[in-house]
Amino acid sequence: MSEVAQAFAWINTTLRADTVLMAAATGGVWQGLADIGITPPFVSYGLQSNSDVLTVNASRLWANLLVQIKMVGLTSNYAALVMGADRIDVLFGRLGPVGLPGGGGVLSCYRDGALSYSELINGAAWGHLGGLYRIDLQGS
Amino acid sequence: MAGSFNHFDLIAARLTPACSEIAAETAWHAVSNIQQHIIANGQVDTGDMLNSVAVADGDTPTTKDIIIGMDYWVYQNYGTRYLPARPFVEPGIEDTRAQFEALGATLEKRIT
Repeated sequence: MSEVAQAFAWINTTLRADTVLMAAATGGVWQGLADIGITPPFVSYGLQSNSDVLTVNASRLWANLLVQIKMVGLTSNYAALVMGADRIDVLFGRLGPVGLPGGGGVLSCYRDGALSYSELINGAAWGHLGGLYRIDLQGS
Repeated sequence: MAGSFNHFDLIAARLTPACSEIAAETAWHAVSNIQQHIIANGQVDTGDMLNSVAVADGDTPTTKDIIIGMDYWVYQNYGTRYLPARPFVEPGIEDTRAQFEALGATLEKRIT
């Protein structure tokens, strides 16, 4: 099974299972873009880059994935972005190994770097706050 | 009677310039790799962002910074509310890993 799909499923489940995060991210959890009309703030995650870890004869040991996981919302409600980003870091900041339901597992997960920037949409300032998380995932 | 003699001073003197060369060559590989991802992602309109990827001197002789002159790179790379993330920085750096290791293997030749 695709390691990326397994990682996304694990991230999605982990995010949604956290009641504190869900209280802050009232717009829900989205892979990539949220639907138009969703009320912020919400959580967004997506693949940033990746490289496989191989043996010398190119047998795959695990996938090394860099995933962005961030809060997205209005800067006027920045406190909610901070609260959500803090919870994201608690959930993914440093853990592993974790077995996955369909087989395989997350060997390790840790933050590679912080992520923070803002944009202007229809005259309103929006913020993105979260991190880039390095996930070593051995597929099923 | 055995005399005391070695080339450590000479090696030490050549080490920093050699590492500096490797850092510079790696940085230019990174620029090229990032630009290739920008092109592959279809993120070229005016070419300003593509052409603004460059190398700048870092804090030390053995450090180089990769800079992107157009500040909207962050929206293209990480996505926005309405724009999907189409990363080129991190994949470009990942692609540079093998080139850095190959250049690192030339260190001994550079200091002798």
